[in-house]
Amino acid sequence: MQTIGHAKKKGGQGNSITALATASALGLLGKKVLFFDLDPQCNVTYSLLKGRTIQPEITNLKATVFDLLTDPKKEVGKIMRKTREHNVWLVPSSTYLDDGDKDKAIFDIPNYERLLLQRRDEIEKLGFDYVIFDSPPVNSRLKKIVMYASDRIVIAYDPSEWAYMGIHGLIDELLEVSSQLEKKIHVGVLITMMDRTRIKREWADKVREDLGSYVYNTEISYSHMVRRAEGASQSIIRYAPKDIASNDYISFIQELLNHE
Amino acid sequence: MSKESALERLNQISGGKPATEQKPQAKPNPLRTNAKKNKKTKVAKKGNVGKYFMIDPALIFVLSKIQMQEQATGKKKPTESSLIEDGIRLLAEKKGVQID
Repeated sequence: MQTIGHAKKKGGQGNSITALATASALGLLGKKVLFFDLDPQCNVTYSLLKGRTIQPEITNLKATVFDLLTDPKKEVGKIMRKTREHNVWLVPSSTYLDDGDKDKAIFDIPNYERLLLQRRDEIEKLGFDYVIFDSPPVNSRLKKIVMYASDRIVIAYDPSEWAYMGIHGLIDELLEVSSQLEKKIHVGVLITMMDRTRIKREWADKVREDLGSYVYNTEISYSHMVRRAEGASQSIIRYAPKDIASNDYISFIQELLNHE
Repeated sequence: MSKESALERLNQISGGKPATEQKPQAKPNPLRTNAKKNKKTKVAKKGNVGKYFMIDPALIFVLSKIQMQEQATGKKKPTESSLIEDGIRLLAEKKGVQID
């Protein structure tokens, strides 16, 4: 079983879209995928469960990742839900994850960083090939939980100066986790929302120059279909399989699988 | 932020295992400099020989309508320069100066 975390320091980089597209592509390739949404914005949860159990205003579902983190007796198998994406199951997010009072129930637990890492054997027994985590940009404690549980971290990067600064900040956080855990985490930067403007090319080249082979060769092209896919509550790969961004995400998955 | 370079820190995190096999990047196009951009170049006239341009038929229709209206009324829509001319004429009349 492989665990892939999607982490970010700065929002709006296409991280959740990348996480969802990765899960969808792996599912279509016949892999059994479990998606853990740890972003309290609940975007992926809403997208995958819309029209079934939740409305935009009601994101506090009865069984979510919050229950899993706060109650060791809760089982992943009972909380996860089948989604419309082929071969993809979801552990839904909760707004409680970032609620000043309620999130204490998680962060007051000693070694809270290891809460998902400790569930690894349990998830493996469910027969999943891949576990995908999505994390929020600002809450570093939730990010830490994801980093602890991930073998690989994918950092989405929409080329710009502030996003470039964000990558450096995230590398520091990863270094801290890696030394605390005494384990190696494979890190890769994925350039997203790429277009033909000179500014994007300059910042994309800058990150390639600095991080070399830690930047994936694939660049995800900007496409308005990604936003349409959001509206249709589907991954871009399922919504518009022939779109340029879908094509790029499939190339990215190939690159990811070739380099396991 | 750490004093080590980002690449050195990533090597520590991942034990030197890169995310991908780096393929050689295509040489980027040289960036155009401002000096070149500002340089005045003459466009060779012969470059346009044999070329023709598409004009929007709707534009021709609107222009012909305006022309017909002007012919019918015998008046032209006041332009900026004609308004200035009128203004100067009025001022001159007030001051008793004659303008041809």
